[in-house]
Amino acid sequence: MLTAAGCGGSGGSPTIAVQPARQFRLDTIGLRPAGHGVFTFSFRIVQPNGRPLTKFLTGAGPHTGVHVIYVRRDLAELVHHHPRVAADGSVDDRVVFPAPGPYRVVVDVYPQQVTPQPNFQLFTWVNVRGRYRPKPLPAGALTHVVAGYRFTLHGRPRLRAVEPGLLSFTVTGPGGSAARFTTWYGALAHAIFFRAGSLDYFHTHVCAPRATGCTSVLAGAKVTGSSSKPGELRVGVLVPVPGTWRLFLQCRVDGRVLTAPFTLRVR
Amino acid sequence: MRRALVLAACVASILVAPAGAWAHAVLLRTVPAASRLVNTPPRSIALVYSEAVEPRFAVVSVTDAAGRQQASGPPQRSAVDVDELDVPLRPLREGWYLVFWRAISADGHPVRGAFTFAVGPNPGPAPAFVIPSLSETAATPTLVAARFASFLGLLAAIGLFAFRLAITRPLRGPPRALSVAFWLALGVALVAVPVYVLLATAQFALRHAWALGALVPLLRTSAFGRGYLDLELLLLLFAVAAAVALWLERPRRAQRSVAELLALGGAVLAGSAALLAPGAAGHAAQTSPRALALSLDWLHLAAGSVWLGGLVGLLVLAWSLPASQRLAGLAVCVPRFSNMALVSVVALLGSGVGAAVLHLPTLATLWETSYGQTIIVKASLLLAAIVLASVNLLRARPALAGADPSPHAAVLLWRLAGGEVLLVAGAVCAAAVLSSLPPPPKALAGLGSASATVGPGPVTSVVDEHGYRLELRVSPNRVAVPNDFAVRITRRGTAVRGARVTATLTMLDMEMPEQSYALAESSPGLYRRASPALVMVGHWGLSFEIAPPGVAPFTVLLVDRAAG
Repeated sequence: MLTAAGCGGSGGSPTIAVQPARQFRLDTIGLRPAGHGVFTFSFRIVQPNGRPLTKFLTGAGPHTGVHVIYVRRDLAELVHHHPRVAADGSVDDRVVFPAPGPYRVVVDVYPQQVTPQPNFQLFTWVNVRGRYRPKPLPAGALTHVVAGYRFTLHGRPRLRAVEPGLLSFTVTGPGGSAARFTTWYGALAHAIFFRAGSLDYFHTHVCAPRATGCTSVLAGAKVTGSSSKPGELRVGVLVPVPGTWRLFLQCRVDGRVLTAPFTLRVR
Repeated sequence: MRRALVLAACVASILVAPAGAWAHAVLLRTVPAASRLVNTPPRSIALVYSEAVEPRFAVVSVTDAAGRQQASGPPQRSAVDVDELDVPLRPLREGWYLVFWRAISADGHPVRGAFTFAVGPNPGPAPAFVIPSLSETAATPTLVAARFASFLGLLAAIGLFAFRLAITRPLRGPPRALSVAFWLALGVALVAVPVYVLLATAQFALRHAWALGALVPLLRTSAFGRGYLDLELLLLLFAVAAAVALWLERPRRAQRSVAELLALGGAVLAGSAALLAPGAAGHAAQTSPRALALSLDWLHLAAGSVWLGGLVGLLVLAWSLPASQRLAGLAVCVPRFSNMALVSVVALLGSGVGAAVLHLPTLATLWETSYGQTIIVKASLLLAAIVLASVNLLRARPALAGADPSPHAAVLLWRLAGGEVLLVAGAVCAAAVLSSLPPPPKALAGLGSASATVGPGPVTSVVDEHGYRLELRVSPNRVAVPNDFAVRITRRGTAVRGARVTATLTMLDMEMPEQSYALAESSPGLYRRASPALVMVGHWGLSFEIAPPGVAPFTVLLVDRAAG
């Protein structure tokens, strides 16, 4: 509707009142206990027209369906799932949380219809009962050992917000040999970034050379990770805002899913 | 007098000036571009139009998905480009934004549009913005009433003046009532024209009509406002010249004096120039060929003025002449007027038909658009008036002109002329509506026959053409969001690869430049492109040019209704 503000006066200029837009939203009843420390997180993605989203991208590579990431507020814990979506668009994700506390839930959606980016995220919070002891963010070490596997970040990366960058890692097994990555959730490695405090999110993948469906498109820039030989990961980065970011680098080696956290500064 | 001549020279120069390319202001370019994702939050929005739109009449709203206003100030004209409006913004966060703009074209018609842009790098999914529905038109009852009063006063005043000086001269001293009627009509016009300009400016500026302090500086900012204020000045000039002419008039003399002729000439020039002003401030001045459109408009108004003013004059004469002189007076004036009326009716019809041909791009727009329908109403009223006029000519005139005119003839004339005045006044009212409506865009004439009429909502249309089966899709077919235009081409069940497919979009509800997009083959036989091309709610001509390899191109047209 058009409203004439500033009637009778000469100062104020007229304005137009615009109704709120209809948006994608997450329809969820939150966590339900399913026994033995297991919870079910059930949700549907509701489109602007009010109908649940039922059609998602399919095919090779990680850019398909729905990804669910639970990250604790202090960035100490992370759970990453690609749950199955039922025909009616509902998702029941069975999840075991490593520790109690408030978790931010990121539902990363790859709809069949481009919106106009290939994917988008919806967010919510869940609280896992129990005593929450927030941990301070560890300093920016360049090497982490997870279950005997050594993750090393090379060089001192100078990352800037909204500028594509590249991080080089090597992963070696307990015997010092180069780790052999196997495809997990469509990629050789997943790089999940959260900003400390605001929990801003960025997610990218590492795939084998010439793999399709692996390039993230963000802000017109294409971000691709690659792994051309065993033990080597090159991770494309494009984070939206400066600050301290926590990177969870995930890969599957020898049948085990490993998560190596790094702390990065972005100017 | 000299001023009248200067004015006439100015008016003549308007006639030969080149016609404008577009009837309405068109948004050519925006920064950020429509539906584009930008990583650095913009500090302002730039809108570049096809003409210098007045920032004080423009409203630009920039809202986030929640509907919160993000513009931090009113639109300003760019210091670099006069056709550019800049709107300052608050610091924007990541997300999607709707820009809704509304501006006033040089011809006084409001134009509007909407587009979205996103601030990234991760703006989230594009929301379904609700485009404000502005059923805004220059044809509101108040504006039409003010326009009607202006037209009626203008036509009646000039026609009465012509009647008073040309028809009633043999009476050797026409009744005072005729002069009173003339000054009354002129008074109505002199009051109605500025009131109309004020009301129209208030509507365009989205302000209250009593906000005079804000409105008066705006009156001359639009070409439309200037045109009508010029009309007011010409009417004042006409009033002065007419007063002098009437003061100098000596009806009892056999011949007019030189001074009287000069004053009369001045009044005729000023009156003629005044009749040109509505066309120069309206559609006629925006229609090509402009000289022809303006000439037809002037002839139409002049003929209408002679007819209407003469009829009112006859009624006043019949009412005001003493009973003893009434029949004799009418017997002199009615035959003189009928001759003039006949000529003016022919001129009225000819110029009206000519203007309709100029303004209507296709015959079908005569009954399919409100502009055409108003022409039908106006023409019907005029035809009914012409029927009454013919009865008058065939019955009342001979009865009055006979050797022994009967009082019944005067009564018949009174009734028929009264009916004619009402019908012609109705036609003037229809003209007030007509000149408030935008004429149908010329784009309609350029389009061939449509294969289908589609929308609102997602479009799927299957067309068989030249041995090819075309599956045309537009999704979601909504304004101000990226729309996916796709064509799947098959021939006897097999996909046709390597074709050139071009989609051309034409706004059908108002004049806008066409937009053409090449569709890329995304999979065998499927050609598609995402584009924010539908920038306005309304009817669009979607023309798909298909050029299969080695085959002459052919075109398929859909008429689409895009919703907000």
